[in-house]
Amino acid sequence: MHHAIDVSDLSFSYPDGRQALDGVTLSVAPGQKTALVGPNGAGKSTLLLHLNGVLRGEGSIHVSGLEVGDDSIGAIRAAVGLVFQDPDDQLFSPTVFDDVAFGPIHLGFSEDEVRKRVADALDVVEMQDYENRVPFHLSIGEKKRISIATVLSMNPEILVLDEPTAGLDPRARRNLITLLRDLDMTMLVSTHDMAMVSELFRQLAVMDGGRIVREGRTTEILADSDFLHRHGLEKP
Amino acid sequence: MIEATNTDLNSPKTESQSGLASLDPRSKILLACGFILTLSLLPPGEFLIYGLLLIVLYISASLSDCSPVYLVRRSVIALPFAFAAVTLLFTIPGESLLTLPILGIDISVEGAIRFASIVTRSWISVQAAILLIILTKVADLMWGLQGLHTPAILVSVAGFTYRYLDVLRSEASRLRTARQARSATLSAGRGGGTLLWRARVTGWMVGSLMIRSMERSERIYNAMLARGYTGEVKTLTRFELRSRDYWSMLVAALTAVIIILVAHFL
Repeated sequence: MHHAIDVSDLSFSYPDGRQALDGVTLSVAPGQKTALVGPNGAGKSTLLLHLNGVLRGEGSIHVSGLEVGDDSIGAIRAAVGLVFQDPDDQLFSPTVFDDVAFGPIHLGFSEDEVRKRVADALDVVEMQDYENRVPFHLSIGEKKRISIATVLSMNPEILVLDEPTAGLDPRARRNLITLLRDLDMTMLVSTHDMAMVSELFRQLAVMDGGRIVREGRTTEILADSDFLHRHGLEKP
Repeated sequence: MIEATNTDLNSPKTESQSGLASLDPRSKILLACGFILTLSLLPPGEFLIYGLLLIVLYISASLSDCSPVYLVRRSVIALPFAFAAVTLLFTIPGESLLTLPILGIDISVEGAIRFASIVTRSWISVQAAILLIILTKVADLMWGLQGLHTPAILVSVAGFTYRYLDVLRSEASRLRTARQARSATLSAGRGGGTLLWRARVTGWMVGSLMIRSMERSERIYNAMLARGYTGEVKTLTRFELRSRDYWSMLVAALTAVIIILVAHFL
């Protein structure tokens, strides 16, 4: 059986010459929730952008058994739901409905199917009454939930989130953690929230300097204080 | 703030469902454009007909639960632009109305009529456009423009401008707050720096706002790609043209033709 995500020896440099990824190798099993941690500038966001082909580096990436390439890009984007860190980047439509419908419409579903998927996705994140609201006027916690709904409506196999709890107040953070815990799907979540990592993720990958420096069980890695310290991380 | 820019789609002004508000957005756009086109096809100096059209506009507004006073109040902002036509006062030859003191330039009667006609018609046109915006949610307006085969790129640009106006505004105000927070002065000396230096700081802020906007546009584009965007904006059908749409457009078109003919030939 194939891995949900299989990245092997991936390297990438930005046009200004900065090397963001330097031989990244990482795999995530189907149904597994993995956290990706590391200091700022470690390359976490860059890696996530590769998972559905927004950025293309050198090396190989397989998602749901498909190799990321020009031919598979449509299927890859349907399989990987990527949620960006700033919800104002994710929510670009004039209303919540339009935003949640964006993915399904592009997948070519019928009008009824699109409406059903929008309703279902908003239901999962408990934002049923927000269809006609304007994204800008929502709180950041609400925006985060809607952002997740915008990819859930595409029914992806894998959910990839970039710092989902950043900027949330304690209650909104708690609600989001509960939501992520209840979502039964493969997940790769980049974060600085070590308390959430220890609570929610059994698997952990640590990134530093554009490489995965360690991959394994969360409890084991969090017990290694020296290692955490060396890579600018703290025990929760 | 909501009144000034109508950025909240749920503002009560757009909740009306009577009169023009009940029409398909495409009909509303065509009616508003047709109204403005009719006005601009009228000869100068026909103030009676301009007045008639203004009354038609106010009646339509009232029937759609929108107060004409509100239209007038919001239209004032556009008046300064109409004064771009002020040169007509001096450049159209004709009988002298009065001579400006000191400068010694003549204002002709024909020039004055032409100028007053342009100002009046622009003012009425602006009110028609404002009525369209008040009675149509921005999302529906974008959908309507797309339905009328406006180039997709223009509709996208307008939609994004609307969506990110508030984001940009709050980004600019964060920059300003950051500057204010460090704009301290000591009671002993003169603070605030030189005018040139302050102008340069403002320049940096504008530049920084531009870079932030470019970076944001890059991130939004990535977010769109990630959800399957291929360059074409697709939307669901929201409205269908009904008989009331066809009737109102037919009546409006006939009225417009009659008014233009009367103004030119009678």
